[in-house]
Amino acid sequence: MTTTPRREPPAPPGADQTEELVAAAGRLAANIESVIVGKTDVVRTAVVVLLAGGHLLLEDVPGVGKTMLSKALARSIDGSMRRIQFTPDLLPSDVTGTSVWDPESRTFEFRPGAVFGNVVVGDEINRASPKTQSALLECMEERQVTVDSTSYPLEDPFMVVATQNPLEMEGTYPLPEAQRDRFMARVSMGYPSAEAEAAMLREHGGADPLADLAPVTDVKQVADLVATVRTVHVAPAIEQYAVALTHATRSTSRLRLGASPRATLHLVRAARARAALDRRPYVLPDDIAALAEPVLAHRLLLSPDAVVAGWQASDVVREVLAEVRVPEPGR
Amino acid sequence: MSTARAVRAAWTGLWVWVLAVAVGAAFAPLVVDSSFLAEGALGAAAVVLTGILLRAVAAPRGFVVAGQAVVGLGWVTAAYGAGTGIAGLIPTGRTLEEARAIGQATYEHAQRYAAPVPDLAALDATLATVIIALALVIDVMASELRWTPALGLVLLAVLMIPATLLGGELQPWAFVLGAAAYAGLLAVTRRDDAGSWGPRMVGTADATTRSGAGAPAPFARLASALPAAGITVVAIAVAMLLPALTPTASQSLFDGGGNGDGGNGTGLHNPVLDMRRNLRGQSPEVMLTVQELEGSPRPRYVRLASLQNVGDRGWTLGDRIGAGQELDDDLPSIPGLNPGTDRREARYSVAVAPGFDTRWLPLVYAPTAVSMTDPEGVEVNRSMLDVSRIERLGSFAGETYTFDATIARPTESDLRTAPPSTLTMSSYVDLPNSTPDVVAERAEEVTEGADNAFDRALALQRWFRSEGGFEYSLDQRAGSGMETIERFLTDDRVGYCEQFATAMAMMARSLGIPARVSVGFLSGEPGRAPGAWVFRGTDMHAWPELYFAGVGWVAFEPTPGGSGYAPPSFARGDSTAPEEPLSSLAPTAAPNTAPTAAPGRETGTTAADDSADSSSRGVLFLVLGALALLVLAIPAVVRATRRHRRVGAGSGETSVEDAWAEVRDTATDLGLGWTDGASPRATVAPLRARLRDDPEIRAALDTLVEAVERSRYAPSYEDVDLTPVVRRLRTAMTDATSRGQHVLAAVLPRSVLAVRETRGTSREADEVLSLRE
Repeated sequence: MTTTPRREPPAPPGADQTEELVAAAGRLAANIESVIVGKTDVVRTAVVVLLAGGHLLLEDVPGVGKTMLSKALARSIDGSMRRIQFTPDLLPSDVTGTSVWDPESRTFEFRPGAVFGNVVVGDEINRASPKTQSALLECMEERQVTVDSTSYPLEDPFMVVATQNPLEMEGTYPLPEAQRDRFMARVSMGYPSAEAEAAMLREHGGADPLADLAPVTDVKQVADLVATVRTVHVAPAIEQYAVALTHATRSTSRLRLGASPRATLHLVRAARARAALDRRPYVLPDDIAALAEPVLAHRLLLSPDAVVAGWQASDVVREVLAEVRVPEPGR
Repeated sequence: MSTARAVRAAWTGLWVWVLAVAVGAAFAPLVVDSSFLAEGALGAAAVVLTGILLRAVAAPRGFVVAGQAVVGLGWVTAAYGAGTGIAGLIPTGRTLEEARAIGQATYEHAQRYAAPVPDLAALDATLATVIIALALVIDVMASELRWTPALGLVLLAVLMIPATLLGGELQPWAFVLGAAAYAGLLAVTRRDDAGSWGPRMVGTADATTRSGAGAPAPFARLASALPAAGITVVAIAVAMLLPALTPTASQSLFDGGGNGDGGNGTGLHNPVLDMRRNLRGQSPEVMLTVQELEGSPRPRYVRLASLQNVGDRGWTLGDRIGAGQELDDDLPSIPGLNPGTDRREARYSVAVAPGFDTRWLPLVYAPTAVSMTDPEGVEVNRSMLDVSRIERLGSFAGETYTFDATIARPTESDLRTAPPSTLTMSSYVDLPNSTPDVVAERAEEVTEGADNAFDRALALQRWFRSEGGFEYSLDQRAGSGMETIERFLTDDRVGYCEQFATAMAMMARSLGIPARVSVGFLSGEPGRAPGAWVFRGTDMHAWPELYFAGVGWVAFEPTPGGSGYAPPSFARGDSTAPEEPLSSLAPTAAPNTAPTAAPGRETGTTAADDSADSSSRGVLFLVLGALALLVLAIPAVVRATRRHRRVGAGSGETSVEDAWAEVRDTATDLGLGWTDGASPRATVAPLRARLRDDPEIRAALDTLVEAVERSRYAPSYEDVDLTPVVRRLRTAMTDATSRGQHVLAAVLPRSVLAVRETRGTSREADEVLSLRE
């Protein structure tokens, strides 16, 4: 067996780092949950994506708290937060920024767009024209904006939390699959339970709940946490499992388009964050399995047969999860 | 369900069907008519097709099995329920009664006959039902439970039934077909297992092999199933080879000569020819089964026919035209038997084996009444009292009938004082002109000093049995022609019953005593039912009968005792109890005669061989039984060895993977369920739910899972001794299961026998997902 030379893995996080991370993440989650009631899983996934350095796509019908969640996440971090309300007439330059002529200095001066912030909330991203959508999505991957041959780096940490309505709603432009791929995870809020909804009425009946929300962490700490998450150990068997999962999506007859290599990368990164939140310096297959649906489902395109048969992409991910064996050493 | 999977399901179904039919075919030699095989094959096809169709529409597992059972039951009800079912299909209480009646009839039929058993509708129904049930069981084990390797043991056990009943004679082709179908089934189900996720391996092969973590999973899974498959293959091989290695298993070992007429060689149109053939061919086939009724004595000297004429070439039936009368009349009176002579009545029922193609009805002399279902064309000879069927109406093969007989019990004085033969018996003292002089000379010599017919007969008998230096051997040239008899009486003095009987009858005639030669069966061996006696080809015999006025025909036994007969009491000729009732047919009247406890058969070699034959059969059963036990014990031994190796062997510590494997196997053995291929915590989740909710047990499970996770996925792992954890979990699992499961786990550990349940069906998807958090 030939072994390809592997980069020496970074030392796994020590106990102190882990504790700091868990504490910070716990504060974040608690803060967000003070405004988003009864959605622990969604909040947890949002925190995982933040710590993994990814972008989050929130998809659901209007009025379930997508914007609330994204704002709450943004406000919990003491950093710059920008909000873009996507509309059909929004221009790419509104997002990225533009060079304007400064008559005094007689030069073109760059005016940063809405994307220059630590947390960028893209509200109803599928209402914008594809051109504007791609402007944002390019920034997401490159983490920089290039205007007139000059590159301007974005903030660090940089996280886009986009919300979108399901595609069948009126006046929407569905995100192209290549762009959906840039989001690390997609979560659906879902309707709250009856109790949660009643509690929401009681607590938020009057004032804006976001107004009281204070930051619980800062930009510096989030950047440290992201760095710490990167050191979580991923065993070869885990890499193998993640690869097997994405490969399985590419070969199943139910899908027209399977998960990309970027999806595999995102899956493992997210799993690292999830492991760290569990105070574990190593990733388990369970981390991968738990994140497979939010990380993979939005990237998949169903085959026409599967659409006719009423399959959802998340069903296919579940099927793949059930069929792919977790690699075991020595077997 | 994908097309590929449906095709695999169809292949599995085909092999299941072939396997069921092949195993059913092994039962064919037990019965005469194997039409049950076709009926069973049709029913099995219905059951298997139902399974294929239901699986093709992805019906739930339980539904598939239930559907197959319903179709099988409906089929059996329709075919054999005699219209008792609702719409002929749905079994009712009356159908159950019918089933019981069929079972009862089959049991009785099987009790009455030795293999091959004559045709009986109930028997066909039972055997066909067995095949249909087999198809269902095989299908469930192979398609649903994935217990294909264990299936081999089950089939072996079923195959032991015909093998045992046939005394080790197995149908090689049925066995080969069965083994082939089994191998096919093994291959298809194995491919099915791998195929459920196999195609995806193509993409991940490189990822799988890159890490040192393990071999590619399909190979590992094949390897894990190998011990069980190996056991089965060895078992089949042993079962196939063993019969060939043991002497009783193959008739062909004795088929040296004489039985050259082929399969239908037991036909009996000329009783003498047939006797020769059967004796010299050592045919062990069962010819008839006689059941004592109403306290009758043991049947001996069961006569087929008597030979009256002696010509140049030996004894023949003689001219019988006009001497017969139809059977439905009362039978003619017994010739020569005075009303004053002591006698006893006896009654027997007889079943002639279907392979015994006889025109002559086997009866104990002297028959007084015969009752059979179809007496057409059957006639009884008025002077011989032998019963035959007109040749064009076929034989008595497969016939069952009952008859009454009067057995004369003359005293010695009855015989000594019998008046000389009357004129009507003159034809029984005729000898052809070509009769060698030696016959009369020897007769005179031997009987010198005897002053009555009975004493002369005894003297002759004594001469043949002991004083004359005769030797019993089947190697002697067959026949009763004049040359043969002359040589028999002068030079070699070696022969078998035919020469002894004809020579004594001729000598008796030369002395003026009416004599004839009877052909039939001497004495059988005990059958399965009490009072039943089984007569085989080797029991065929010829004996002289001499006529005494007032008594009638009395059988004598000149054939020496080396063949193991019990000679009639007077046969010893040293009878010191003159008034003791004599009967050639009631050996119990003379308890101190030669061996009656172990009735012998005429064997081609010596009596010692006969006992060797039966003891080797015993050895065969012992060996078969021991082998079966051994094969059955293999899984338990393999399991115990594994446990010992994993827990507490060597250093006394249990490594993490050993602990994991041991817990897995224990859970599998106890039927607690274990899904391979999931993550460690997902794997133990169902087990956790089944065990008692006890903090200690939960802690043990957590310790185990965390150790496994650390060793597999953490950057570094320090081995800890998990022996106490494994012990604790073993106890917990044992507590959570029933005694029956403990026994099953000990005797047939599923972890050794079965391919473990693995992920691979979408049905399990939700289950696995629900466990992941």
